[in-house]
Amino acid sequence: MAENLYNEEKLRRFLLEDLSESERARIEERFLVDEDFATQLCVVEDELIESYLGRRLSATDRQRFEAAFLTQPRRRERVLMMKGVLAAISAEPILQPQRTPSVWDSLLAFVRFQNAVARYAFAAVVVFLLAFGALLLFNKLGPKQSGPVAQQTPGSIRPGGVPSVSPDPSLGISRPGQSPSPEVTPVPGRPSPTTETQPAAPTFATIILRPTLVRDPGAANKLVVSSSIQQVHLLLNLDRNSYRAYAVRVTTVDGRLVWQAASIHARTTNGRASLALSVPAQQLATDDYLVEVDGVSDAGSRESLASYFFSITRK
Amino acid sequence: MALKETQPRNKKKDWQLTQEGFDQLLSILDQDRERAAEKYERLRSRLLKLFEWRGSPTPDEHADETFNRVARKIVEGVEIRDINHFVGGVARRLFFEVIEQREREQKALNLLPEPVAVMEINDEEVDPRLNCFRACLHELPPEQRSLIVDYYREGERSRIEQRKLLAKTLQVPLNALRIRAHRLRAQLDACIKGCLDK
Repeated sequence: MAENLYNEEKLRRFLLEDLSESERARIEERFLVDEDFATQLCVVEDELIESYLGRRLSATDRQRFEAAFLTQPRRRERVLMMKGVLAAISAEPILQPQRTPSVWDSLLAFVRFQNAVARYAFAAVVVFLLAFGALLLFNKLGPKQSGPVAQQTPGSIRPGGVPSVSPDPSLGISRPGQSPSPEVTPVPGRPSPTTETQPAAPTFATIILRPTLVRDPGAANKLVVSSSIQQVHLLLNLDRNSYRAYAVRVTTVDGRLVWQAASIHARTTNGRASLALSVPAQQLATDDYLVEVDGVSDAGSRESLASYFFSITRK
Repeated sequence: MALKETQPRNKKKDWQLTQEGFDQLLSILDQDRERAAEKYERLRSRLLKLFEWRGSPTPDEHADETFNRVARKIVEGVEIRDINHFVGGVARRLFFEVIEQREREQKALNLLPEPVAVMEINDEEVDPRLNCFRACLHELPPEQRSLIVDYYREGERSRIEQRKLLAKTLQVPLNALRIRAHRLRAQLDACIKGCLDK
């Protein structure tokens, strides 16, 4: 009767040196000649190490394991490697499981602007309505009107990387820093019609980031930074706020350090924790960037928590 | 396996592995030299494991010595039907020789058996190397990284239930998932070793 050498309990006994010499010899011989069996035995060894590290072995087996594995430098190294891999994996942020959204989910996502297409579409509609409304207002008020010129938004970015909106000069709306409309002519002898002072060029830009494992250039948050921008505000969403403070490093994806802070406190708004950073714009050239956040415990030890990606284009 | 000695034995001590002997060994593994080299490497890595499991302090040396002896037999004209079985037999004989030699030395010196020193694993050994572990994990393609993270991460379910669910999600048999995870981990180990050597 052929023995089932894929009996995994027997393979575990073999690895724990708990078999007779003849049984060991048979397994060793099979290990050398049968590729599938060899793979299976290595899988069982991995799981045995994992069980030891997870304290799932009985006291007797634990003793056997330590005598077999921790007294030999190479086998001990194998245990160390597994421990390190498990430690690195446990530090990875938890991603929500992917599932195929239902029609209702898709509709809700569209209404809630969780869908990128919806966000861009909504932004386009808003821009159009604003521009159209401004044009109507301008035409209605006429050239003698001296109302305030349209002000450019200070360059804030909505989640998902919608670029900042600049009014279209062809619609007759002034941009900050430009001279007022040529149709506004002051009457001699009379005080010049009061006009609002031209708004200054924006000096900061904001980008909101969510943690991600994947550096996908197509999905990265993109920010266009004009020469007037002096500070770039990064708002990092945190999955949870369980540390006293956080250490943050901003580097290029090639590894060049751009900015760092050893201790930043999170803030919570509407139950959502986030970190707010302000990076001098001059340090952010056109490039792709990585933000790494570590939690800092009371004892001062650090735990890697999350990574964020964003992309800068200078104008 | 059939053993047919056609030439007088040379002294074991005097025999050195030659290129000719190695070439003949490879040609028995496979007629194609590249495939033979791959089979040699796979066989050698399994020999290493066997010697480790048998408690050898120098598995590399013993694996090489095994191949030396096999090559010698081939050069001497021994007919080998199944090279893997033959290698296994030579390895077992070598292993018992090593044990016997060690026992003879201990007896001669009137020594007690060597105490087994269990060096426990502690966090301080792993922590300084965590950067390498993390870096190598992030070097994996996203799909593979996601698989290995989901496979090994501690969750609310038991480990086996979690993995059964993962296998169902990926639409593969559980054993195929186990093997895939094992191979990915081996890939990680190779990367980590390279990182630690830098």
